[in-house]
Amino acid sequence: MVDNQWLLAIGLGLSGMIPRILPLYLLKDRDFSPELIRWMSYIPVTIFSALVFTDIFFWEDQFLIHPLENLKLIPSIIVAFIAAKMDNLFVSMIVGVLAIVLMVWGFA
Amino acid sequence: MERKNLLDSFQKIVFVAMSYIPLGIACGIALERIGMTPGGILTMSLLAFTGAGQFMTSSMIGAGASVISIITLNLFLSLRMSLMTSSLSQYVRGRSKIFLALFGQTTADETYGVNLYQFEHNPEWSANNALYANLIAYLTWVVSTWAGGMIGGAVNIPTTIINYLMTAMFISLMVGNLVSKTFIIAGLTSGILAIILKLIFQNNLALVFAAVIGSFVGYALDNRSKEVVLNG
Repeated sequence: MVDNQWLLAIGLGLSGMIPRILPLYLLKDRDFSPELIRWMSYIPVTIFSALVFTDIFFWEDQFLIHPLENLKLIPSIIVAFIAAKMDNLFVSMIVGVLAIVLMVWGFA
Repeated sequence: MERKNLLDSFQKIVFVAMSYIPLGIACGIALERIGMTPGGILTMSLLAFTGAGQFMTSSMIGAGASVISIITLNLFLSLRMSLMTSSLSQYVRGRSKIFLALFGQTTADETYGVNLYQFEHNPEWSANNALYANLIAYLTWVVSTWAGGMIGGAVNIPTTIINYLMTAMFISLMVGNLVSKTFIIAGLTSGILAIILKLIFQNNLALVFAAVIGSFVGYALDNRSKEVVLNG
């Protein structure tokens, strides 16, 4: 449970606002160095894969790769497949939720 | 004229905004579960406007993570927004500071996609169009999460399923960024390293280290492949 929701809201707000707005102020008449952009272009894929890997390979806080005990594994393969084929965030999320509902209903 | 602009923006963003309604409601429900009030959720959505960050907040607070580690992770999650707003900056140059702040604050993965496409393919798409489109999506998100917070405890969806919405979102965003071999290697490096570091340190900040190291690996490979091209 959260201790101070206002602190959390403001902290999350500032950490989102600064990276969003600062480039627009800094880049009024120039662009970022291409080298910085090239390094930064890897951040989305690496931060998402860090979040995804530490999520789908853990079940109830334990590292677990048995597909019928860790119920997130099979839906995650399906979501990755749909995302690669369709490139539609909403559709892959809906399919993922349906898949996890079936897994929880069938195996939990 | 502005009325026409607003209508054009609405047409281009309406499907994004519609998809925000169920997601926003689910996110509001998830945030209510960790003890936030509808007012707190509304404030958070107005300030943060991030589906990824807000879902992450609910699942990490649920797992007992500290506020500092969540804010640090959100900073790194939001670095992708720096890439987005800097790539759009050429189209909004010369606008007032307030315009730029509003435009930056209301940029999200999906609105960026729409705006980039329109700026590149539609000669009539103006900076105002882009801001209107952003604002429509932003307000839809804010209201939907607030509504989710109001509904909150009235629905009884298992937390496993609510949290999996975030997982599915992150998998889709990850896959969407796997645009070449160096990105796949960077992603795998970061993912595997994150698991190892998390098992050792039991701390979510491990994810940030894994992402930074993975990014340097991708960047270095990228440099090497460029050299090979130059020398060969």
